[in-house]
Amino acid sequence: MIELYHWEPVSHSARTLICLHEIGVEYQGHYVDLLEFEHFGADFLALNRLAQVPVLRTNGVCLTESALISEYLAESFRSAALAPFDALGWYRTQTWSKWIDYNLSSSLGTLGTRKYLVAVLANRDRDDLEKAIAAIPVAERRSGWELAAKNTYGEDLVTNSRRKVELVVQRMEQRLAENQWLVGDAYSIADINTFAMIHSLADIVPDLVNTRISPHTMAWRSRIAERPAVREALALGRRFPTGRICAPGPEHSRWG
Amino acid sequence: MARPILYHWEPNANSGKPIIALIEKGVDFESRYTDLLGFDQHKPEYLAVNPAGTIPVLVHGDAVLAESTEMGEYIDAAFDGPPLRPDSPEERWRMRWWGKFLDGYFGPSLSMIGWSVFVGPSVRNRDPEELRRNIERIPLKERRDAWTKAIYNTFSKEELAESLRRVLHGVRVFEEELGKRPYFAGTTYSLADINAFCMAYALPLMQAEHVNKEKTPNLVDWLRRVYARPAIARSFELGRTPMAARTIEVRKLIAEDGSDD
Repeated sequence: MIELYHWEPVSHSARTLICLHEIGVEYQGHYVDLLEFEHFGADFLALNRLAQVPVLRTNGVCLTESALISEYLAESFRSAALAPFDALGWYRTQTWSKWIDYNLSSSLGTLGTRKYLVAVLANRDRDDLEKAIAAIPVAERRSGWELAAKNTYGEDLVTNSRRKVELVVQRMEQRLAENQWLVGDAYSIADINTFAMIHSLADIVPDLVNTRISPHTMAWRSRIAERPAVREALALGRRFPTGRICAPGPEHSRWG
Repeated sequence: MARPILYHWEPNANSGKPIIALIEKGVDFESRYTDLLGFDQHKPEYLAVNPAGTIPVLVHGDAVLAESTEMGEYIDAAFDGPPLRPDSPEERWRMRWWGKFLDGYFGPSLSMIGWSVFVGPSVRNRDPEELRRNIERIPLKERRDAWTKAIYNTFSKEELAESLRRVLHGVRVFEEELGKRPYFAGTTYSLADINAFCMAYALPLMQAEHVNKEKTPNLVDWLRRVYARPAIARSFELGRTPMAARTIEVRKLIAEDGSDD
């Protein structure tokens, strides 16, 4: 039995949820509430010491890193045809997802937490929150929560995040002007991995992702959102606003 | 299909990955040495091949591949020869997990140290006007920032200290995980070992205090086994700077007691 530890159907958790629903494989889901800091508890750290969702447990192994879980699922359930398996198609699928992660994972974390998480944390008891953040056992995670709790996002961080979103949208527009899907001629994990982030970015930075600036991206987004598996996955949210509330993502690259 | 062409620099970090993978597979390829320190990668003729101006690049028929980690999977799938990816899906996942850890966490910090102690000083004394023009030609913002820092030596003390902290944390992770299985992905040598080797091959020399037989026996044992592979020695023959010569010293440092190897 596959077990999936996930949060809201947004960004990284959304990728794996969508893949599982597209494949149609039975799995046991465990909702890990990041807003309650459940991913920093000993139970979750035993699954992933880096304190990141999602975690897919299968055959006794805990798989982490959402893009790599997508690849694992595509390869393990080949009949679902979630990726091209020829050498070049696979290379393009992998490198597209890597480029998306490089540009969007951290940027979505920055822009999304600034828009939604700051307000959620502002309602918490100050002392309790500070204590809880100080107790976060993974240094790379602590700084993201500190930023949201104190709302001290630097101008550079925001500008660079927006620049990366713009870069992605430009490239997607070029690609989708002449193609239905991001890699090859079929829907794939490249689309799923990207949709999971673009879906909420259209709401978080509506001035950068909208029908005027990025009509092809928005049409592609609607095509995916209408798929039954995607609707099932997105319906698993519990927090408001569903599918938009963000947690701090991974760090930005140290080289910029 | 036509004979593949590999544009590469030293058999090191990113260029080392496809060099070793191609040689391990026994692929006949054309090597085009691209001098990173001569800014060959920013010249118009190179940008015509790879507009991003990064090394390495593999050209195979109509395909132009510029991401070194994923290039390894392409090489494994597109050419005959011994497999470089495990059969088990879980071990494949682990191979890729290392790719991500090495490229996203360990590599950037290791290279920041490398750029501050080697790349920067190697070019810094050239004509300032020429250096400025070279920087302007760099297409990617990330690479432009990196060269600017290396040339003008603006790495902060904190930045370098944090890089060292991360490199040493990486070393601890290598040591711990190699205690669980003989190779990075599992029971067999794979692309994960090639990627890790390209970044870790000189650690016993560069971080001698932290990487040695006493403190990191698993890592040293693994390095010794990888160094013993014929493809590794052949890869270093493609190097032209003193970097490749360091491997002789490293092999002495990690040799089993009483052995000359």
